[in-house]
Amino acid sequence: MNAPSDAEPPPAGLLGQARALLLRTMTFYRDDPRTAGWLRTRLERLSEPLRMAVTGRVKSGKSTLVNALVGTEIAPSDTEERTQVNTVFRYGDEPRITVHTPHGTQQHVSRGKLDPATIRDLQRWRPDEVARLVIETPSPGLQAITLIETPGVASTAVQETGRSALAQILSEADAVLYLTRQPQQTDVQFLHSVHELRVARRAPINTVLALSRADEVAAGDEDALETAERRAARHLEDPKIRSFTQHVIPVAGLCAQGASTLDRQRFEALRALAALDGTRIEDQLLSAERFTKATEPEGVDAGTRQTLLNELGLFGLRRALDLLAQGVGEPTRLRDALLEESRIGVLQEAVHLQFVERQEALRARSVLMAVDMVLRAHPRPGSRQLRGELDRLLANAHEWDELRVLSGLWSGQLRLPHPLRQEAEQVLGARGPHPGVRLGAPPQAQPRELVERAGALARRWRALAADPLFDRAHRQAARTVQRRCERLLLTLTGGG
Amino acid sequence: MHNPTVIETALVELIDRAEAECVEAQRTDLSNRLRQIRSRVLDPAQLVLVVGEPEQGKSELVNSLVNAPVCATGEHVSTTVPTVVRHSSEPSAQLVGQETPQSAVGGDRWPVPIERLHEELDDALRQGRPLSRAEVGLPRALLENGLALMDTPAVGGVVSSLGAVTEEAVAEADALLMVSDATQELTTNELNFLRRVTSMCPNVALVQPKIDFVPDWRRIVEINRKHMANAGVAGKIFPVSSRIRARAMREKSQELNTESGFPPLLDYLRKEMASAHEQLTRRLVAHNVTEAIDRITTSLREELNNQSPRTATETLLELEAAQRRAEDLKRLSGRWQKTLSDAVQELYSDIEYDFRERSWAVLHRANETLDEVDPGTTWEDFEDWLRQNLSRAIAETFEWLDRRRERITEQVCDELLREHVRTLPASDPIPVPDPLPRVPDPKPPKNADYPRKDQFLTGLRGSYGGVLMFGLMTSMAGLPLMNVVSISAGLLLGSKSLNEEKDARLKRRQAEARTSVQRYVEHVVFQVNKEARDAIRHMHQTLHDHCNRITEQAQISISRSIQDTKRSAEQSAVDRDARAREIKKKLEELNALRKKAATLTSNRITAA
Repeated sequence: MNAPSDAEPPPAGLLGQARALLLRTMTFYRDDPRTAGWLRTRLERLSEPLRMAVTGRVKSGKSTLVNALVGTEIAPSDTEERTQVNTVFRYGDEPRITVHTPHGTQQHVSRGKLDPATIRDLQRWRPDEVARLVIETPSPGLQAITLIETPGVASTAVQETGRSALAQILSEADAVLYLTRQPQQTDVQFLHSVHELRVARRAPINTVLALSRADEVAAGDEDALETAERRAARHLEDPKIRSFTQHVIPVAGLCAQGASTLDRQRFEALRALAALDGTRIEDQLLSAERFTKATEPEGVDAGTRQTLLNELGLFGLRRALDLLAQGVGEPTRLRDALLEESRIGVLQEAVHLQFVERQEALRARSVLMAVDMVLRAHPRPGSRQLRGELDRLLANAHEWDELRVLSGLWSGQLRLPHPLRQEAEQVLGARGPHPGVRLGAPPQAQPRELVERAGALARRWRALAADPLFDRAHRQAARTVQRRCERLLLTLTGGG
Repeated sequence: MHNPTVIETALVELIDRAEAECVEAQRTDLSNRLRQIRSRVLDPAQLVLVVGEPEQGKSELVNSLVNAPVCATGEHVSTTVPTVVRHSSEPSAQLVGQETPQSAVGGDRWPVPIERLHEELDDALRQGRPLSRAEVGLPRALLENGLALMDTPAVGGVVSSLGAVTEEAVAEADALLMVSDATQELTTNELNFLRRVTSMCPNVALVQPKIDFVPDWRRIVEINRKHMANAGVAGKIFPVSSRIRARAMREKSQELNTESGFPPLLDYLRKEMASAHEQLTRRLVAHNVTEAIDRITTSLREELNNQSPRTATETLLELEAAQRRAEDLKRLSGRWQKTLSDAVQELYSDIEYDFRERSWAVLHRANETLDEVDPGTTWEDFEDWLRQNLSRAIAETFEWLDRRRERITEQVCDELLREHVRTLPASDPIPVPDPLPRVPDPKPPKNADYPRKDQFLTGLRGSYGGVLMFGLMTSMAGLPLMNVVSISAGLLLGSKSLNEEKDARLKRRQAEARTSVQRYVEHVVFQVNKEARDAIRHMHQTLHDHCNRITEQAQISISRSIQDTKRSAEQSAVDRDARAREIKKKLEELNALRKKAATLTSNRITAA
């Protein structure tokens, strides 16, 4: 209706405004080189890929999942919990390992090739020796997103000093992929403490919870992942978990990692195994130990067996052999089938939808959080005005409201009747940000037609926002959609 | 080697004696606890608790041990109620309710068909029946000599860190089987839990299922051994695989069974548990009896200390303290009385001023209105308006009065607070009175109407003068007395005088109305002041009574303590000595009993 034009953000959007505020804060603190330098790194990050922290319980398969997401074996995984250092995996033209010490110096360890053993050694350094490890590699999986692997939560290896560093890296990341085998009180507490910051509370949209090692559920039976999926759905009903994420996804990281690194030689070994008699192979697959000690068929030696088991896990092996027995005869097809079994695709899609597609909002969130932290840590005369600006931005961040509504719709927390749901998703930009797409108009629609459509939509959603049959959450969602319609109307009429 | 039954008798006797002491000391809580322990000693069952974090395979382990699906497993159920599996000649199952004053001893029991146990359990929980556990009886050789396995709700889920049920059960358990699957080393949480429970039940073993799934489970087991040693937890580790065990049972294969890792675990349960049972019972008894006796001893010692003849100085000190308290109280009551009377005085003058100010505002507005309108025609509306305004002013005044009342109440109670617990008197807010009906209505101004006849006469009077004046003037010009000029002048003057008269009457009416309103408002002010004063007086009374009551109570308690002090000072020394001797004797007895209980653990008990 009469949306006040001064509350309407300039075309740059939330990220633009946040960036402008960051620049002003930098200017304000220019005589304090440390703070200004810290803020500058934040500014530089805006031109780099999105940063996602991969964190979670001890031994929840963080390294394995990083490998699966990147598509190569890059992060070393080990039976013992030893990782104490934050490791950043990012895209680079050539493979390179850089060590950042706490004193701010950098050291290039190796260049040209990546050796998991070296990385593993470096990861075991104490946090007061190595601040972070940066690994660059020209892997296409890292072009859109930078991964930060952190030490595990509630691990015996991480001391209290490491805990605060962990919280810090989580506040540095734009998004969080949290891994746990089974959400427990520790996890919930940890994630809540991460969301305690004010800005973070305003936009609890940056976490995806992965139930990792889903292949171990029900002792690796065939339907392990279906079971895990049902469990995930049950966890999602828990309000404690819903308060910080709308996505709980089971994933079999080991199977995915093995499948994505499956080569010809291993495929041949698998095929030889699959050719065995049914009961004999079943005997071998009864336990991991039996499998490594088995001698049939002769072509597959103990070393190969060990590798297969390490790379795919027992669940992956069983599934691979099943698939081969069903007649999947090509490495690529087996690989795709295994990847699908592992549900890594679902996770990747969630990461894409939740994080990469929404990077503007997430980046804006990180920037505002950085400004908030600086203003809180170094208050000085004059910073009041910046704080006011920050508060204004936070209060007007409709983008975050929209994201919350969208993920609520996707995760089924908000239940709207089908046509309404589709309309809401469209208006909120699920199909694309263009006004025509948002309004669901044909591509050749006249501006006048668009205006009419926007007006009609705004009226309908205003009525829904006041509908007493909806509960509060739904009314609020309707109001968010209505507000977006009004803003569309404003840009359409204001522009023409 | 002692005869087990003899030892049992000795234990029971010890418990009985301790219980008798507890009853004598009127500690029913302790005697109840001892009675529980007694039934636990007589119960031949050796309770083994299966504990662990969620989804580690606790229920599965129990099922594999007894080779029957007695505990619900799978993704849609997590154990919320413990299940106890014990020996019986026929498979049977029952649900046991929580012990309530109405239920039977140990809780009500409902037998259910064993194959429908899970459904019945779910139903019962859905209906909200308070269940304490489910019990299953199975004819198994393993359970024959009294072994009972208890599958417990998970530790450290999203909700709680250690279920209350589990904690209670751990204290009575003979042994614990901690379950943590072999896919991962022990976490800090698990280690902390282990450390905590070993203080309650030192007989702990770690079971690591799912070894079929992990290639290098041996390393995990090795690491865990180290972790446990570092944490100071002594216990065996059993790596097992339910999957292989199930296969072994199906194929009746000895080799597979060995591979599953179960035989050592079963051996452990069968042999070590059986020999340890006696030891465990002793420890349980020793611990509980010692604790009960210690509690009684402490309270007896306290009594003895109080009994010791008090010195004159002590009595003097106490009396002095009481005196000091009484003085304090006097000072305090003077203080609150002053606060109260000051506040009330202030309020009296304030309230009068307040309403007068408000009524003046109304009066002022009324006068302004009366300057402009004719009160003769608009009197009724005006009267309504005036009433409304006045009643609003009254409401505001009384609201303000109520706020003041609250503040005064708090002030006075704060004065009291220093010595006593702050209690606000129960008082209703002051009601807003409606004194207007009691005030006679303002009189409407007189001569509101101006009858036609009078108007005519006034007009005629004016015109008569006009006609005469101008008629005479024009008659000099030779015109007759009644001509055009004189008549029109007459009309003119007539209407003028009529208008003047009307105006004068209006002025008079307005003046009258003003006086009447003034009088009315004065009246109202008088009434309101009276009401307000009444209200304040009432409040004063309530507050005064309340504070007085508190002070009086304090006075009574002080005088009582003075009396007590005096009486105890006067109590004969003989009485005191007798009781002291009694207590000392009792303490000696208890000490002997305690020593006996302590020897239990050092294995030297004989049938006493």
